[in-house]
Order: sequence, then structure tokens, then C-alpha cells
Amino acid sequence: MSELEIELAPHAGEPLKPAKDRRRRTSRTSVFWLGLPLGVITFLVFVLPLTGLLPDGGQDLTATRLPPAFLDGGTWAHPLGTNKLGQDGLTQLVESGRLTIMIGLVGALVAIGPGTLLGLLAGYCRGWVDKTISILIDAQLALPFILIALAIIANRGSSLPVLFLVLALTGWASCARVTRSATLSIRERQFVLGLRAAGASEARIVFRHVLPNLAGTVVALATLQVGTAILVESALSFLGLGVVPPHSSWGSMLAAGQDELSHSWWIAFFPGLAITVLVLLVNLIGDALLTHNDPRKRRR
Amino acid sequence: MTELLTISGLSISARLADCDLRLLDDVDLAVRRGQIVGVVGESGSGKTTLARSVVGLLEKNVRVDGGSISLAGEQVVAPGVDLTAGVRGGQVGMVFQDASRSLNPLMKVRAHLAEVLHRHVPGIDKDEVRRRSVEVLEQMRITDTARVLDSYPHQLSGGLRQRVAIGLAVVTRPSLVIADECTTALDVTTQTKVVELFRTLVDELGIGLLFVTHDLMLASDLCDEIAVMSSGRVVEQGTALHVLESPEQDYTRRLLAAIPAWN
Amino acid sequence: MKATTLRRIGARVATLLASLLIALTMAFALGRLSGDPTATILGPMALPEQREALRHQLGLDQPLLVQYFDYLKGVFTGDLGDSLQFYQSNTTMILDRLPFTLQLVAAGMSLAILIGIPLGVLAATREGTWWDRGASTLALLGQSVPVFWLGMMLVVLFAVKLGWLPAGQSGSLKHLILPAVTMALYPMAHIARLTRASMSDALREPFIDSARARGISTTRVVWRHGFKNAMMPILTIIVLQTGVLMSGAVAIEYVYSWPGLGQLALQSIQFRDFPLVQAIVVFAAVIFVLLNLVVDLLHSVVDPRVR
Repeated sequence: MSELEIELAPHAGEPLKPAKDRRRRTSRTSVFWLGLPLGVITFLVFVLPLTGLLPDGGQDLTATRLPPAFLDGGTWAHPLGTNKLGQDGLTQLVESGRLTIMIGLVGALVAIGPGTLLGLLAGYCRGWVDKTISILIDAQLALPFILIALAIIANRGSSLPVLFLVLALTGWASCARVTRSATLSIRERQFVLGLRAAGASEARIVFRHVLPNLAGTVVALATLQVGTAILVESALSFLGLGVVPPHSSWGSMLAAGQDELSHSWWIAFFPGLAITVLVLLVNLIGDALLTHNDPRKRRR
Repeated sequence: MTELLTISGLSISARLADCDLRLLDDVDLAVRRGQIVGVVGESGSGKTTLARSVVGLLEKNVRVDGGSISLAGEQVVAPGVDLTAGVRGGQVGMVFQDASRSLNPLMKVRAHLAEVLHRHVPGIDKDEVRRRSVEVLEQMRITDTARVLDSYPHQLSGGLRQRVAIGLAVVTRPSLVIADECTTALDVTTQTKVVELFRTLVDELGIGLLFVTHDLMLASDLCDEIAVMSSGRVVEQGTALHVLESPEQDYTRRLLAAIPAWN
Repeated sequence: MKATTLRRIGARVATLLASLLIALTMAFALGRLSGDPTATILGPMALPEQREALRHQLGLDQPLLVQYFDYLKGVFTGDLGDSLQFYQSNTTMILDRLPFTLQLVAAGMSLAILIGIPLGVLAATREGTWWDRGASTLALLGQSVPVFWLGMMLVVLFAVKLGWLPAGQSGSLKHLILPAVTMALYPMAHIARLTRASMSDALREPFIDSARARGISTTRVVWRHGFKNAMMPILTIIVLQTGVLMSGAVAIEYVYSWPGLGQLALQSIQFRDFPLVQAIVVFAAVIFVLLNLVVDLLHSVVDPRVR
């Protein structure tokens, strides 16, 4: 933590009781221990394909729909089995993981960026700016997101840019709402009033003083948004409206597995499990970060 | 048995993660029928912990190290007793600091009174509930009882709310009432009225009152006996006159010196 | 009802109508500004005359403003246009599918409430214990699973392997079990988490201590004093989640071949039946706004302070 942050930490002024301090430390360690498996997964997804350790990912019509190695009829040559074209499940899982994680990260950024900016603007400028943005937020939240997604895709067809557009359109509002109310409360704090009285420029107050105070909350929201983006992507891809061949994500693997469900359940099982584990880890971290940043939740 | 409440040698500590914190240290205190005992101290002196230990409203990590609390001769708190589920209601009434927050905002005054009556008076019927509700409000010197009974807490003034809270504490006719900083949130005029009310209640009903406050002057006006607390210990104890006139402890002297009007 | 109450409700209705108008405009804009739908509908091989005919059929040859007002007039008179693939009124088709969706949502939501609320209350009343950690993790897990995948796995287990329940379609109560369980998971997790947070705040209120000091039984303190005060955000999320499920359960309906609104939306997209897509979006937006209004009314029923 830099000196500036300590000085302007949201709870500056209240003496930190030992118990509170300890709580801070535990939430930091829990973020570390949750981040570790997440880091390992990401590392493996990006590095494993380079090592040549993975089974060959190509089609093999002599070995289609092989069950995973731990079941009867499975072989360790294909630890997680194969699909209807004989492609190795593990290799496909690792390679699709890259796109899935990438979509999660970019999808969160495109939602959080505009969301934060609009929320900041609404909360800080207030007046008609706030009114306009608030009505937009309400309207956005009053429109069921999956249907906006469907409407856009119905028009533009499925592609990565359209997917990101959908993720941005559906994710910005909740972030803007939180940022707005946080900004509203920060701008009334003593130190901001003091800065304004001292003649600091508005832009400087917003970017040097208000934004750093929001940073923790925004990072937590962004983390949770990664999980949301991955889930939305998987649902859209499952319906054939997100990632479509020749690209492949865990969601599109689920779509392929849907037709094989009655006889080769493992084709759909592993990508779904991968999504669940990844999103759960991300959500646990986001939750820990949010608790860490919310003095109310940190009370005990 | 003249003593309603006997606290003898009570020591209580809270278990924190890295240390044990002594909250009360060898506290002795007694309240008799018709007597008002004040417990005075600054925040963190342990006075609220003392009040809450009698009714069993402490946190889960608090335990009794030694000593005991007896109500009308019956021991209710001793080492090993669960302090989160002590004697409540019926026997002891408690009034809290902020009446605007100590009443359930979603329940009418009538429902508050009925709830506690049904709990502590077995087999009470509707008419009897209504009769005793009105009666207790009248005891609280409330005139428009019908309106107050049908009001939600937020529709009443601060003073009225505190009277209702006191009424709620005495409606089951307990022998002992504990008031924890119950005048702090009120303005001075209302405060005086509430204090007068307590005095008449003690005289009329013959209850014992344990009055916890940080205001030494207020306590000296109202109380027969005063115990001054600091860091979990009773540092000075005696009649109000004795404590005020010849404070033996440096701490009491400093508390007195902190009151500008006294100079 | 007091005058202030009426004014408050009036202001709220005005805000909601503004939201609705923006939502409707967005739905319109999505249809009109994102390129020529006739190219997507007819494909690249279509002749200019065919496209012109379709444009005329859809009213796209009119000035934009005229189209917009025609569209708004249609929305408020219940006429949402005709489907391109089914040659039927969109409104009729939506109303035909609605009972199936309602049936599924009602079953799923009841399940979610019946499990989610006790789970959240359990966690809040035992805050910091293993009960709390277990319930909270379970709830977070429920929000991390792609529900449609869970649905697929339930089909594998209960329909394919064990053969206890049918894998899809609708009809009997047996058909409803798997889809309803799948549907319940996400709202259940959401409700449980919110109940825990809201309850744990409520249980810290001074009036809880004061009720306990009066000797009120723990059950009564938890439910009558604690839960009743914690209820508003929970009710809100229940109502709003109902809206999400009504239109947003596309993937679940697809997994179970459930003939509800979600399936209709999916079909309309696969056939590039743009008027139908738009009609469903509009229908969902109207439902959302109505549900928001329900939330407001509930709020004033529950809490005397906002009456």
C-alpha cells in the first residue's frame, strides 16, 4: 500500500482495532490461497499445449467416443476420453480453456470499464447527468439481459466482437450502480470537502482521490464479473449463439456434448466441471475481496 | 429476602483470538427492593457488560471466570453458565439506550405489549392483555393510550418511545429493572421527565432499579447508591452523597471535575 | 392511504414508465440500427426485388419515425406484429407458450424459496460456524455452476442411467421434476446468500437484543423480529428473479425440450424471425416493469414506514 492509499483509505480516522487488522490479514491470505489454484489452472491452460505432453488433438475415427481412463474401456492415451470424431478430451479442454479464460477477462473489462466511468460520473456530477445515467441503469436492469443478447445476435450473427458487445451491454449497469452509490458517499466525506475547500480541481479530486478509494470495490466487482462473463458465454455458446466452430470454448464443447448425452456423457461432463471450478474460484476470490473492502461486512 | 440482585466477586472475560480480555474484575453490587443503584463510568468501563450479564445478553465468546449473580436469592450466573441465555423477561425488565432502535419498526406498540404478556403470563386472554396494556401505559403517564397502542414506533416522539420501552420492561411486573444509558439519546427536558418517571415507578411499585449511566450528576440526582466503575472494576461505592462529597478515588474526582456545572 | 403515499407511488410509476419506454426504444433500435435485417433473413443470395418485398412487408420502407410510432402503438394495443416463420400473431404465440413457462417458473421458484430461505437463516443465526461456512459455500457453488450443464448431468443420472424420470418434454408431474430442480438452483443460491446477509444485519439491530431481554423465545425472535425485518430485499429478489426466469431460462428449456417462452425465443433466433424476437423482448420488458411495480407495492405492505 502506498502512503497515499493509507492516508485516504475509506476508514481513515477510525483507529484500527487489533481484531479488525487480523481480519484484514486473514482475508488477504484467503485471497492468496484461492488465487493459487486459479493461477495454476491458467498457467496449465496456456503452457501445457507448448510442452507437447498432451495427447494428439487431431481426429481419429478409430477411437471415437472413448470413455475416460478410469472407466471400463478407457485408455490412458486419452485420460478424459474422446468425442465423436476421436479428438482427445483433455487436449480439447486445455485448448478451449484459453479462449474461455480470455473471454472471461475481456468480457469483464468491457463491462467494468464503461460501468465504472458512468457510475463515477453519475455519483460525482449529480444533477441531470446523474438522473440520465440512473434512468439508463434502471432501464437496463428492467430489460432481461439474455433477451438483449439474443436480439443482438439475431441481427448480427455470432462472432467474438458481438459476444463482447453483449457482455458489455449486459454487465455495465450493475457495476455502474455500485460505483455510483460508492462515489456519492465518498464525495461527502470530510477529506473531499476539505480538498474542494482548498481549491483542488474537480478532475484531480475525482481521479487522484475518489477513484483510488473506489479501486478496491471495482477490483472486487471486476473479479465477480469474470465469473459472470464465463457463465454467460457458456450459456450462449451452448445455444450455438456465442463461440461457434471453428473456435472452441468450454461452452461450445458443452453444445457438442449435448447430442452425445445418452451414450457418452463424459464429453459434456468435463468442460462443465471445468467451468464450475473456475467460476467458483473466481467468485470465492471476488467475495473475499468484497468483504475485505466493505467495513460493514468486516465487523466480525 | 430483601436483596433482589446480588452480584458478588463477578469476573468475566472475553476470549479473543490471541488473548483473553478481562471485562469485569471482582465486581460486588447489590440492589434491594425500592432502591435505585447507579452504575457510573466512562465508555469501556464495563458498566454495560455488567448490566447485560445480569440478563444474559453477552456475546458467545464471553465466559464467567469467578463469582456469581443471584436474583432474589437464586443463583443465575456462575462459572460455567451460558451467558447468552440467562434469565430474561418476567423477573428482570431491561430498558436500552435508544428506544427508536430497541422497538421493532414493523410492530405496533400493541403487538409489542401483547407479545411479552403472552410470553410471561400463562393463559392470559385478549381482554386481560388489552387491560394491562392500557394500565401500563397509564403508569407511564401516557394520556392518549388508544393512539399510542395503535402506533408504529416511528410514529411516536422520542420521549414517548422511551416511555413505551420502559412500559414494555415493567408490564410483566418484574421485581428488578435495569436501565442501560436509557436517557442518553433524549434531550434534557425529556430526560428529566423520564428520570422522574423512574423515581415514581420505584416508589409506587417497590421495584429495584439498576441505573447505568455515564452521567454522574444525573445518577446523583436519582440514585440512592452509586458504584463508580473503571476498567471493569468498581473503584468507588457508597451513597450518592458520599461519592459526590468525599470522593476517595482519583478517578471519581476526575469524573467530577469533567462536569463544568459543578465548578 | 395518505397523499404522500399516492405521490410516492405516482413518482415510482412515472420512473418505471420511463424505464419501459427506454427499454422499448432499445428493443426497436436493436432491430433497426444494427443493419438491414432482410439481408440476414433472406441470406446473401436473395434478389433485390425479394428484399424489397420483405422490407415492405416488415414496414421497413417507411420513415424511421413512422415505424417507431407504429411500433409503440402496437405495443400498447397488444399487437406485437406477425411472425415470419409461423405466419401467426406474435402475441398469440407468446400467450400459447406462457402457461408452460409459468408452470416451470412457479415450481422452480417455490423450490428455491423453500430451500434458499431456511438455508440463509441457518447461516445467519450460526454466523461464523461451520454451518454458516457450509451453507454459504453451497450457495456460492449454486451461483457458479452453469445450470443447464447441471440439467444435462441430471438427465444422464436420473433419465439415462437410473431411468427414474423422463429426460424431456412436458406433460405430467414427473416431467416437471428435473426442469424445476434445475431451474431452482440459481435463484435458490441467490436467495440463500441474500437471506444470510440481510438476516445477519437484522439480527444485529438493538431491537433484537431488547426482544431477547424480554424473554421472547429464540424462534420468535429469529422469525418475527429478525426475518420480518430482513424480508424486504429477499422479497425484491424473489420477484425480480421470477422475471429473469420467465424469459431467461432459454438454456434450461432447451436442455429439457420444454415448450416455453425460452424455446420460442431460441427458435425465433435460429430462423432469424426478427419480429418474433422483438416481440418476446418487448413482452419480457413489460413483465419486468410490472414485477418492479409489484415489488414497490409489497414494500409498502411490509414496512409501515414507507406507507
